Amino acid sequence: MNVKFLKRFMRRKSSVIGGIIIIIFIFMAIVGPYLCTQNPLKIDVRNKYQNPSREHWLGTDNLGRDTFTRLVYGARITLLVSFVSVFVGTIVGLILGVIAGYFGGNVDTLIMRVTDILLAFPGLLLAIAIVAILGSGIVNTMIAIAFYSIPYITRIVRASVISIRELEYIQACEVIGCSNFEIIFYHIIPNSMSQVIVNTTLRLGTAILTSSSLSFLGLGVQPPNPEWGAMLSKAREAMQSTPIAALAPGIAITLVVISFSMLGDGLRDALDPKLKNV
Amino acid sequence: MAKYIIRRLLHIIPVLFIVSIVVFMMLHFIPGDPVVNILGLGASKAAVEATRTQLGLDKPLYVQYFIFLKNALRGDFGISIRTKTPVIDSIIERYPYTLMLALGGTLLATLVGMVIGIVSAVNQNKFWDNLLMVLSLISVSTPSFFLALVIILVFSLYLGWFPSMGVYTPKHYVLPILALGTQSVGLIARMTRSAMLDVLHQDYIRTSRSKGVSEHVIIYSHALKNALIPVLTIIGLRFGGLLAGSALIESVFSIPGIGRLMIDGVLMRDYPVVQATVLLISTTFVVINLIVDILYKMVDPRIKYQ
Repeated sequence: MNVKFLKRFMRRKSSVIGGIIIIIFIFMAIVGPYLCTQNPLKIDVRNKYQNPSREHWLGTDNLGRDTFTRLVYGARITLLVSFVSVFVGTIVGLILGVIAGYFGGNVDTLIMRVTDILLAFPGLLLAIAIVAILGSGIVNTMIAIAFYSIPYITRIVRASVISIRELEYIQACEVIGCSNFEIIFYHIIPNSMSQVIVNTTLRLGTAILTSSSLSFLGLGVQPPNPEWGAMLSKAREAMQSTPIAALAPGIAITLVVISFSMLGDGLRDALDPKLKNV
Repeated sequence: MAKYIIRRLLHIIPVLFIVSIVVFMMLHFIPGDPVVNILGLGASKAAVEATRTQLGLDKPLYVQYFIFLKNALRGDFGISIRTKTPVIDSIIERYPYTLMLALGGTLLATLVGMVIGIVSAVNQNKFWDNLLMVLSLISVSTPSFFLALVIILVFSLYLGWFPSMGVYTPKHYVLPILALGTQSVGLIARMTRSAMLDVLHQDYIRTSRSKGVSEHVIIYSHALKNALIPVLTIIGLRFGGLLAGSALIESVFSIPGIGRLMIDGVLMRDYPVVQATVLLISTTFVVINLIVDILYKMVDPRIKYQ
């Protein structure tokens, strides 16, 4: 992370905007709940599906709970699920990718065949199948999404490790007697890091789409937790009278996903200018 | 060509074999006794034993697997725990709806996405390119179930142009296909754009231009043909994604497809239904990718099978 990197990153306006939006949402997730005056779980059935008012900025939901407050608390759950799951998926993917790419041979073949099989299940299907096994809930949603991210990260890391492994300075390290451990931890991993950071950022958006899809279907985070996908699912019954109850969480999901995408593209260009426009 | 197809067919057999093992093992990965999971904790001992025998769970695991595989190959996925009817009957009844949605979505995404990608590439970094790429980014980032609700609100509730529920006439398919396909429009547009730009910067395109070949011929006959390969891959992958993603759209539009069947199966712990639907969707996905691979070879004779 140096001045050159920052300069390149700042040059691309959309990435800066994406980064700022993400920071605002993270801030909202961490600090927001302390600033809210209303309880996200407080039921007030007499005031269900209210349109926006001074008291309820974004109206209320099917049980009369304040949509704005739930949106703020929901940022915590939505971001937590995606960060934890992608982080775990990245660590496991990184380890598998390094092992496959560095050692090659049978281990490589085995790891790659396993990723092939995981990738034989299209997108959401793998997450649904894992939830079918483990059951719904926040932790199981995280496990499902982590699992579903592993094959993508593994493949990217492996490809990057293979290309670095062939470079001359790695051979030089081997000649002067560096151990595998030193080569992997001091040379291979730091040099694959830019690829990993970029792809992790891009995967965060996908993770949010997947976790909100699972919650929308009733398979992810369970009520009364204010997860955005689950909020949308409940609000659709009053789409005509109180569209804001569904529009608010829907726009929040879209905005965060777009921002991660813009941030990821910007990081890619700034960290690795060679990849620009690819 | 025939040799290539046969070799590719042989290649997918192990993949499908392992997919079937994974799907079979699903029931056994679930913590606890599968029978108690199915019947609930309050079930009587006799009922537990009866179900265990009915599902063949009293036999050794490998025997159970071969029975599962043998039956699956004959289209027998057992009896649904919830409806007590053969799973295959529900699948035959419901699969056409899901296939229709996924095919419609893929077709929409391919046609619109490629046009957007070509227009963007030709106008690189100009107004239209920037606008279309922003729209593509929004389309990729909008969850399909949210888009579905928004288009129901606009085209069904406010304007009253299209019905919002069920599948009775072709008109009923318009909104679901739009909701399902839009996300992929953006993906295919971005892929087409970058593939086209890659090709448009090649030497032979410059040569053609300097020879005075018309821009139309360069774009449609030289560049697009070569840009098709990466685009084809993503179309194949998207088709699988849409088959699984159809569950969300079916749930919003109350369409009785197999996505909805699968989700209800997961919610009701109806494992034979879950196994059958997961196996069917992943098999379709693997087969579609095989077809895409074969199409590659037709589009580009340079590709060799390794």
